[in-house]
Amino acid sequence: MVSLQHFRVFSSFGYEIREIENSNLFYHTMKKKSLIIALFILLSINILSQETQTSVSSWRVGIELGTHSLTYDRLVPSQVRPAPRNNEYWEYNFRPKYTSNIWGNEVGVTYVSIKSEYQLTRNVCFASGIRFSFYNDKLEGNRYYFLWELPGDINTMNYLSVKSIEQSIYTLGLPVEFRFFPSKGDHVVRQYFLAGGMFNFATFTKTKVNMLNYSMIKYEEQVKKQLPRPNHFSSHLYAGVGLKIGRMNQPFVSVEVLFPMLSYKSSKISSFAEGGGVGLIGINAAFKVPISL
Amino acid sequence: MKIRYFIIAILVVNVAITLNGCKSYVAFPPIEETIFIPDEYYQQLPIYSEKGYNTFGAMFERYYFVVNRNVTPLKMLYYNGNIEMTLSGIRKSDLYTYNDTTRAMSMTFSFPFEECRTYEELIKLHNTMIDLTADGSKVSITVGDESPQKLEITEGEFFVKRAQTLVIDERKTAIILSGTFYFKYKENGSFYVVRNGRFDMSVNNLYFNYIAP
Repeated sequence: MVSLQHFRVFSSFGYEIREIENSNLFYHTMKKKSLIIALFILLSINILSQETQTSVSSWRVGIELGTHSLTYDRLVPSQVRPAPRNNEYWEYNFRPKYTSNIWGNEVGVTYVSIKSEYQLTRNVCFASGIRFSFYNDKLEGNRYYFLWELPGDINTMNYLSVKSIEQSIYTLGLPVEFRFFPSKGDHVVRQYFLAGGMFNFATFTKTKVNMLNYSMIKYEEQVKKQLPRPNHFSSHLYAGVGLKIGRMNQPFVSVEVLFPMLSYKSSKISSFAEGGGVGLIGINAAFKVPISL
Repeated sequence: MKIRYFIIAILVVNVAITLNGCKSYVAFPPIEETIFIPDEYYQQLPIYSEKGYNTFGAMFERYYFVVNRNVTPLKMLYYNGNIEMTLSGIRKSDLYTYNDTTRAMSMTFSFPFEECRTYEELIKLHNTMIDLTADGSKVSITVGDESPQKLEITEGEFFVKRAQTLVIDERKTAIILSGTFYFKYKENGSFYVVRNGRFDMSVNNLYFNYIAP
């Protein structure tokens, strides 16, 4: 039998699996926008600032919406029949359209969080809450379909022709963040820096198998059972720069650009992807309301 | 007049570019492809597999006899009470380079077996050990343009370890034959060895023929 090690070695030359192209297109656009916003934030130090002496509430609650990229390495399940090495000219016709960049393959993560924030000092505040994140991944062959091996017996080998396997991954996690404001005054527009960590503790998946022959859809559950589950626990650390717009004793909004983001490399982020160790950039916006306790 | 020639020249160039872009290629169904995964210890040989990767390989003295994409790797026939299995590839001394010693080569194993009228019946070969020195068993080798050479086998086995029906989308597509072989033969007073032989082939009616007696 073929050992897993052999398979992996070969897979790197054989079936190259495409990531979601439209997702990447979105995130390339998003990255450009994030850089522009980051530049704007850095240039806006103390612009429009007005010193105030009003007292500031220590507690705030807010809702946050954001997105960030996450690099990954493709893990081809052992059930995928490998393709020949791409070392002959005609095989280049089947090479996948690589959408990866120098950082590797990327998947875009979108999230929504509910967070509470506590003002530790005039410059520093601490925030935590709960975050719901989701992203999509897709396993596709470098041809129109690939063969997926079903369990057989000693004298039977069963394959299914599969066009793609799509997976949506949902995670629940705990963000922990510190924000540092260089200026002590509560300006209308106030720049800050942040450092934080994200700790996901539960992962749910929704998987769809696209068969080449639709009548084979009856095997969908069987294929799903063969797929390994992504890890429940995953984490990443990040730093960033943000801009608070509004006074802190009133509802205000903030915009943040997160860069860089570092994750634990070998965490399985989908049934067929492993975290690549670094996420390039993220962006989020939050609406926060001061509360008195 | 000049403009007309200019337009014609542009059209010719366009057609040439278009035709150049339409290079033809040979695309096989996935199950007919040769998938060469190097053996961990003998990198020039394919691993021993039972997946129908359409590969074979053996060490032939100081050479390797291995599958090659440009050569149809297998022909099988049932004729006159015998199964005849021909593995065709190349004989070479190094995996990555072609040199003066590289030759086309084929090896034919012939042995008595119960009747197989269709390729599906080859499943009967499962777990079959053939003693290549037994009566009726024959091995011949063809190198380059030379005529086939029937070998005088002094010791050897041809083992079909596993035979499987290959089913794709509930449709029987081929029979996978996987196994090993080795033998020693005598030629002009010298002994030669073929060892570490392994094969993993998908056989369907394109590669199997039954010849009625």
